[in-house]
Amino acid sequence: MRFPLLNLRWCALLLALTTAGCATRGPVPPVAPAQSAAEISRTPFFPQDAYQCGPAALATLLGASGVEVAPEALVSEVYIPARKGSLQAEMLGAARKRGRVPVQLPTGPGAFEALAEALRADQPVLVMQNIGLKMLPAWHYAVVVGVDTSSQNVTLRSGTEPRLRTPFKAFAKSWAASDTWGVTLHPPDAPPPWAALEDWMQTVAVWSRTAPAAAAVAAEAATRRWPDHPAPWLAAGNARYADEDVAGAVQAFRHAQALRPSVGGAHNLAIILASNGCFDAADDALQAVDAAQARHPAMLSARDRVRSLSTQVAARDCPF
Amino acid sequence: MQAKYLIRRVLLGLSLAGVMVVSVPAQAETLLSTEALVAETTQQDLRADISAKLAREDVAQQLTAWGVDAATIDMRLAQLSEQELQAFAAELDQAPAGAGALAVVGVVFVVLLVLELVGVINVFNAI
Repeated sequence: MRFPLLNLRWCALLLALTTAGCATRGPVPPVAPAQSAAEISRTPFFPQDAYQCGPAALATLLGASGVEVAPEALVSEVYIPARKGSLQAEMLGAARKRGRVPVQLPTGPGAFEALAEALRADQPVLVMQNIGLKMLPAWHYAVVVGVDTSSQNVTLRSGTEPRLRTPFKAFAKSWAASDTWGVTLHPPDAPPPWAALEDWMQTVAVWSRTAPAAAAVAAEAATRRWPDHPAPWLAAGNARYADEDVAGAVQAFRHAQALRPSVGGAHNLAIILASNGCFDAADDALQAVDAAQARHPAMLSARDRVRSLSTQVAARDCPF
Repeated sequence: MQAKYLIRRVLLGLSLAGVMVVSVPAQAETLLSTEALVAETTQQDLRADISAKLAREDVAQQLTAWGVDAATIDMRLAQLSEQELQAFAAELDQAPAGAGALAVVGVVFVVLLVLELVGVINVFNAI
């Protein structure tokens, strides 16, 4: 335990490669949190085999969020034999495959406080640490389940240790090496307070291809959480259209375009309107885009499609 | 007789109504993907997904080289967004070149410095 490199608690893996190699100063460790978070005891524990801390830590986190899965089932999704480890991006992907939205904690000096906040909200946090040396890194995934400010320890499900207690300072340093990479998992209808819009929408985008029903739920939740940003409304527009709710789709796209006109929004809105016989409204939708974007290929193709629809679909009183 | 006739009329009406209902909604149009819409409004402008396709191929190739079962690669990569794939592929491109070049520059500098200090060369004279 004192010599992490000598036992198999660690596992090698590829980190954001830009940080590897030539950094002369270590990253600044995050500031220790001011408030404790009681240990989340419902978090299961799966001791890792050999280098497979990725599958074990992910199974731990999924279990805490109500998705029962054995680490062995995750190996074929996140483990890379030649690297003896798992990539961060693939850890997120495997969580998506099981119906959970992976949400990254904010990084930087406030990261530790954000981690404690997540724990107080009953969410264990998957972290990536360097438990080796700076020159000879040993990258490791673990799950933080508790923070105790009186003893200055964090409690982790880590490797073969169900309750590893690590001092704040050592933990902050090992965690800062991964740029304080920390992830919580959430059902599609409940973005947590620490979720960033861009991050949440990545999962919506993936699910729009792989799991349309979950994408619809996550997009609608995003419109409630970030009502003033066009992206959730655009995603909801596509989801509603796929669900044959044309009126709802038109409403969502119009809302997005009113917030900030986009080429993609204009394209989809105009085509939906035109295919329903609303040619004037379709033209209005195309006009509303910034003049600088008027020659964008997507605008040209939308114009073409609207024109050809006008020869196929009868114009009528527009219901939208 | 009358009843039979009525039933027939009703059935005919229903079947026609059925045909009407099926034929009325226009065929679903092809829209721009949610992925493209999200990328345009959260990141950069709307661009062709060619770069995403290339990124996907690069990453798949690297995963194969790392011994990942080829049959699982598509499934694994399907769970990543195009933005994530592009970031991933960019890292693959940069990693070896960046580290290698810097190492070479460092070695050359140290050799020159040693030679300078022991007086073999005098290239740092001007500084």
